[in-house]
Amino acid sequence: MCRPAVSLLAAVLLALSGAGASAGELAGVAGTSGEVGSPPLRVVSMNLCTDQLALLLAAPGQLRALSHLASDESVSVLSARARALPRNHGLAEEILRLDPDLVIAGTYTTRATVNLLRRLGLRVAEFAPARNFADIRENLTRMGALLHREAQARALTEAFDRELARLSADKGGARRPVLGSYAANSYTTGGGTLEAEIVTAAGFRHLGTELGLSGATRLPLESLIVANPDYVMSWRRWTATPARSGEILTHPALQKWFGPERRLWSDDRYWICGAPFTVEAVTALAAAVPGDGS
Amino acid sequence: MSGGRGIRFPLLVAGLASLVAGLFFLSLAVGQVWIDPLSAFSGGSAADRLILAEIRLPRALLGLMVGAILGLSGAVLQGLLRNPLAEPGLLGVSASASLGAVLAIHGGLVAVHAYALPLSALIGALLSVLLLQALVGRSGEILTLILAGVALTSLAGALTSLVLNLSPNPFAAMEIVFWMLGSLTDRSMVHVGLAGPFIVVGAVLLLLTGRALEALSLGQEVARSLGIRMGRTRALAVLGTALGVGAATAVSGAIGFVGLIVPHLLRPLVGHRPGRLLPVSALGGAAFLLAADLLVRVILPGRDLKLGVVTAIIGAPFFLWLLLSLKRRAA
Repeated sequence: MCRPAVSLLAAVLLALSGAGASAGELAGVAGTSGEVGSPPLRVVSMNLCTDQLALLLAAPGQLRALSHLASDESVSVLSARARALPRNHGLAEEILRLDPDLVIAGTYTTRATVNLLRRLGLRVAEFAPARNFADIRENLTRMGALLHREAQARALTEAFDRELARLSADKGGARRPVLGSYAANSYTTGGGTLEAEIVTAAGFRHLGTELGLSGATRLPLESLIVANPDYVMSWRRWTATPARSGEILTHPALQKWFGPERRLWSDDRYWICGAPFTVEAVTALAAAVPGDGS
Repeated sequence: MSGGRGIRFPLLVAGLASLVAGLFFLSLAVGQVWIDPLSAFSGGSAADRLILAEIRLPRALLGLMVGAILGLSGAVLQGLLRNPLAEPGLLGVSASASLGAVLAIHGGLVAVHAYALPLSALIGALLSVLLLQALVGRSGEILTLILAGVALTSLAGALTSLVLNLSPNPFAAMEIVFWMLGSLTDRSMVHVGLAGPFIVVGAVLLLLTGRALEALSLGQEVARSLGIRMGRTRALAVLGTALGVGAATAVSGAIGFVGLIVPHLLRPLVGHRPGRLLPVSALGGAAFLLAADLLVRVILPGRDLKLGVVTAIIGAPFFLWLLLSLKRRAA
């Protein structure tokens, strides 16, 4: 809750200490810090995940620009809506030219740009990627507070929790099969990640968690066969364009060991960012496997 | 010609061949878990049999074939250019083949026909060898050759990165490391089938140059008087290298230094005879690459250490030592 204030304070301090900051810029910063009470009206987001959260919450006209990824239909769930807005490529120059009163960025993207924007006295809020459902709620609430759209954020959070509760009620007491993810370049995901949370919520045990892996790690094909999960899940779109990286997903050993009935294909767009639509990933995954009758 | 060497040569071949056989066997056995290949096929678990047949066997076969063709082409190029530093990796042939392969994959040619991959890599390799020949000419000057190789390698590497960065596939950029450093991890029988025929034909063409290289080591005039047709020898070497190295790179990425080290280590053992150096370099290259690929699996299991990292760690100091000894000889 206090993060925006902290980051704002940090921005002001950075601007104050900035050697090149002119008197005029300082005055501008002082002005914005005095206007915390009024909603930001020229918001620019430069990260795919904050783009989508902002799109879901912002009032009409409140957003000035989103990252170019937001309108890319292969990664963004809200690409159709994002296409109506101008796009940026995370470069300080284009962000400055948009004259934003709030810049939203991810903690992992374009560090140099974020630091430069802060030095120049812009208000920058950073969002860490969601690693679980609690992070999604927290990010939603924080985004709502930043945009002065608390009511919308509350409504989305409540709907999100309702859906999750309904899904977990569906999956009572059945035998939980093991599901391992397998992506291009032989990557799988470990425990403590959003993927693990989604897989668990969909009624599976998560292979990466059970193997004690952490983060995104390479899992040699041999190890996957030895671990022998009940299902292997891959993402469809990343393999749609030709690349050597995706070859591993059609490796003869993989196809012989895991028949088509044990391969699941998910829509990557719902898995990249933690957002209210993450619940769609859970629903689709739970529906991909015929019920718990057996 | 001496009797002593004549006895040693078959012994050397037999020794290298058994080394290759031993490493090949180890290559089947070593991985995430130890699998005994002999007992697994008679009565192991289904998972063991699948891992052996579909994951480790293609890896070992590729290690054998790729290593052999790299060692062989190194020996032929060194003999033909009469230059101890000639080697497909160093001269930019491997990097150009990588570029060809990347263009075939990301340009969608592979979707049209699977053989577009080795063919396109082959064309990349062929163009680079022809370009090198045009640049260096018959002088065979070391400096020009190495500089041309450096320029070609960085140009092909840059273009490879460019193609991969332009790809809409977010994983493509992660491939850059594979194409520049090479790896045999998780290849399949499909890749063996794609590259195998080209590598075999390339190896045959390269081995045919043996007699000519032998004569050439006595000087171009002598070679000509012995009835060696230089044009034919050159064509065989260029085509053989392009076919073999091109196809090898298409499935395993650019692996450096094999063709540099192996002929040098073996040359004294065959009495500096280029004709005999060819078959032993093929065997030595296979042994070297199989051993390097085993190291990759033993040092950092599960982390996909790139093969080129190991060959370069061994090869680059060797290369520097070679440069020093050349300088000493010239002084």
